[in-house]
Amino acid sequence: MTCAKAHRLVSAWLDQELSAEEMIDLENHLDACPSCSILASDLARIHRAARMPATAPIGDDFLIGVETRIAASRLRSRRCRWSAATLPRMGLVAAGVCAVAVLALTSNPRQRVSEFTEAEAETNLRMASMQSVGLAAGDPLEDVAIASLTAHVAAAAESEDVR
Amino acid sequence: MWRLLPRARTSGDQVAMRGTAFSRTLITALGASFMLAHSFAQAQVLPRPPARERLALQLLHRYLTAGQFTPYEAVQVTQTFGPAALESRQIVKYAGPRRQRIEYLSPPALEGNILLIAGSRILNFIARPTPRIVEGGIPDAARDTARDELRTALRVGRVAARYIGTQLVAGREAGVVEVRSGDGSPFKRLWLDNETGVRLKYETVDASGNTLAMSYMTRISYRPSFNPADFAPASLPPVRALAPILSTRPLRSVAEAEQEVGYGVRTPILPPRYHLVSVWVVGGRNPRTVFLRYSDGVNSLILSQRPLRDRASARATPSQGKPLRSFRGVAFWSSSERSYTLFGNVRPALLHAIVASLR
Repeated sequence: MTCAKAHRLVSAWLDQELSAEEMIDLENHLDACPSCSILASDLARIHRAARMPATAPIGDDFLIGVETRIAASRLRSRRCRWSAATLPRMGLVAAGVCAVAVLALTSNPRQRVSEFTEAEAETNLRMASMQSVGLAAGDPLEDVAIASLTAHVAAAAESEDVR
Repeated sequence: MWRLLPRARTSGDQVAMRGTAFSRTLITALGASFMLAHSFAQAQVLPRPPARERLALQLLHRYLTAGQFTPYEAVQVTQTFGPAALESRQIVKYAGPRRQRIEYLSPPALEGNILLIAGSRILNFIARPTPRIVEGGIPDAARDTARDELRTALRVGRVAARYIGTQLVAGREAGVVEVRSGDGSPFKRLWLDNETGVRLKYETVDASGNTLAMSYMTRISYRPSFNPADFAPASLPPVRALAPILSTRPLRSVAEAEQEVGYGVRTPILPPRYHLVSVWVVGGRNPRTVFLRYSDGVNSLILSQRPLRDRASARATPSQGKPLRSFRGVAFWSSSERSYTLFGNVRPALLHAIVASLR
């Protein structure tokens, strides 16, 4: 990656708008290039400052909100205690279900292969859907909303929702 | 002309001079006629595009330039027709190329979903049943490539644009333009805001005139109330994000993709008007998926293929794979060792020919 390209990408990097490949490329460049690294850290400081919330006086509404949330969290913690009592029982049930699943999978290899290939096909469909939406987003003669709806139809059909 | 000649001459002189002037006038008139005829012949050789085509090209130019950079907020309805017909309503927030947020209002299965395009990332927040985020990538420079392709195709006449008329969409006057590639293939109809160039309505229509899919705005504001934070990935609800789908930059050829993935890439047999536009390899782990994008200038076909991983087991218990399932705009199937997905509006005969050519 050239310094010029790195300069172009730094802002998008701070906004988390880079793809994984671009991010890896840029970070590799920043590790190797001191001048770009300085620029990136300067921009990061500005970025952080811009996002820092402005200080404001605390009003009664805010305090009432905090008290309400504390009360709600107490209620939740009571529910958690109940959960702690039932956890061992649920653990036993889960272990049983897992054992049955393992037995079922190991006793019928044909079914396992079939499920495996289905999972692979689903992965392919998911990737194809996202890629199709991505390409539509970059094509003036395509419509991203239609591509997204088509992807949804495909996913629903794969899970037998659409007939 | 001869009336301007001096009068202080004899009558014989006058007759002679009148005769000369007449010849001159005749020659001038003949010359002018020849030049007119010549320029007309030139016009016949290099005709200007008909008025409807010129209007269509002007509107498309506005759409590809100003229309792409005009921020707006709109309510939009999107419909797909056919066996898996579906309608959805969305709020669209558009802040420029690669900065778009679509919030789904209906149907119930999609309500609450958000599609966020942020730079090179495309994030789909799925609200139901388990909230999660699926992430993909917009291929680098795809927008510029597709825009240039369209411009070139219009210039060389591979793609024809025609102005149909005007219509009101979402309270705005829109010019209607049809963009076609060849006989028998679906074409696009675009409603473009006469003033801003923004696309207000979109239709894909098959050769018989049936609408395959459409989206249209019911309300649009060019003074949007959104703020930059709406387009940040961090604005999505903090839920589990599935591993992003990694993709390489576009590759030059199928052979290059084969080197990248380590398996033979199968290419479909398509009508001659389709040409291979781009090749991508997607996915971080083996086996990686190969995407082939074909275009006839107006319609795109995207074919993805990926070998099924457990090939040894598949051979031990031979499977016929999954049969072809197709809806408007998407088809998927798998053989005993490879899974395919095809995105694009194709006639059933062509779809079956593609499937057969990949066996």
